[in-house]
Amino acid sequence: MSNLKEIRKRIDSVKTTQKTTSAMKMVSAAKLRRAQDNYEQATPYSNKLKRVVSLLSANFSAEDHPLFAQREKERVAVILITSDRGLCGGFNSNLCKTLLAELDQNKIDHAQFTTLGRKGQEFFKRTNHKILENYTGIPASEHRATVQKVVQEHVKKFENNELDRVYLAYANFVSVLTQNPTIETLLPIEPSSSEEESLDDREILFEPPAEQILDTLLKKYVENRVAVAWLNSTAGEHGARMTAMDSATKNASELIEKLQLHYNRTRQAAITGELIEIISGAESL
Amino acid sequence: MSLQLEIVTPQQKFIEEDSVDSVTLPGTEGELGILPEHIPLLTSLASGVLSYQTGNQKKALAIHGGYAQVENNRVTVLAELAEKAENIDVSRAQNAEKRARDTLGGTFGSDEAEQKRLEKHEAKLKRAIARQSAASIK
Repeated sequence: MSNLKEIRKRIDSVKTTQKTTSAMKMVSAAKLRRAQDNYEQATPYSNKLKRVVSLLSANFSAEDHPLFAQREKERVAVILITSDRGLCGGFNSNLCKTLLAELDQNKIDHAQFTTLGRKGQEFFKRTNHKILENYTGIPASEHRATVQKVVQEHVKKFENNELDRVYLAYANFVSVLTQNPTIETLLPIEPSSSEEESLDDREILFEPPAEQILDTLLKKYVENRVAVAWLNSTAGEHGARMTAMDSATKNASELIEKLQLHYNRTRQAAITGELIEIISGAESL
Repeated sequence: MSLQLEIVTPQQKFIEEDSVDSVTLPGTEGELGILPEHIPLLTSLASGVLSYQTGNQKKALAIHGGYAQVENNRVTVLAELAEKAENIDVSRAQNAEKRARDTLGGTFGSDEAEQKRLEKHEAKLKRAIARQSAASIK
């Protein structure tokens, strides 16, 4: 088949690739630890905030605040969180495909997208949906400011009746091996369906009055949900990349083994061939 | 009877104390003292000093904005930003206060951008003052 030199070249190139993938795996593992830590540190706040919101919104009905307003799903916006970089298995494409299918199912044709991360933008610019804004390569230190800006814009549009619904789509980090595509309704805010059990049956005192707390609290809540989803997605990205790179490294090892075997066989065949030539040459003398 | 105190910020769980005798919160409507058996309460917080007492020991933090919730002898503080008194750089806070006062001494226009700038510097001043008073308690 192929000659020895070609096989040797092939083995070398696979080895180089393997070095890259195993280095990427190590890097992702380190980043994963930090990202996971960030996410876990942020969860207590977000859980408490959710609880406070549900305690508070139990006192209100859907008419009391514009962010509760349920309307027909005509003008829809999506905030999509993906990664900037690839080489992380099906992390981004699973999410994008699920989202696209979900939108199709709900017969939403022209959603306005705000994409946090390059991969989401690349996927949805090929569809009917419109990309309003794309944020790529935002360093972690600026995530908070970006989320604030994006959420404020959406909240404003929603309050001015320019949007009927805002979805938040991200890959939920379940474990290093599993990230679940998650699509949540960000706006309108669902007034808590399952009323939180209060530990205290006495009536809650609000200071300042509940109406005044409500507005800022709801906005903070929406903002926090997006921020935490982003942290969650970052952890998922590194987890997915680590797994993808781990299997790539394993595949490379297998390939190298096969190629080496092939190389040895070819080499032996060549030697045998030469020997036969020499012997038959000697015999003919 | 004692209180459980938990302070969380968007970045991390800041403090968790199991038996605190009293907590003083900087509410937007004024300072609030919380003792055991306080009625359920939800309040928004301003920039200021949060202090709590355990036995004879009093500890203080500077916190900036957020919410506090009290129920069933449990105080949960959702602060935007929190700093322990021992970690506060007093001279930096003093400089920040001076800078903010200088800026606020100038004139501000009435359009939206200018008003935002005014608010920003007022907030800076409040933070600087809160930091200094928290540091002085330690």
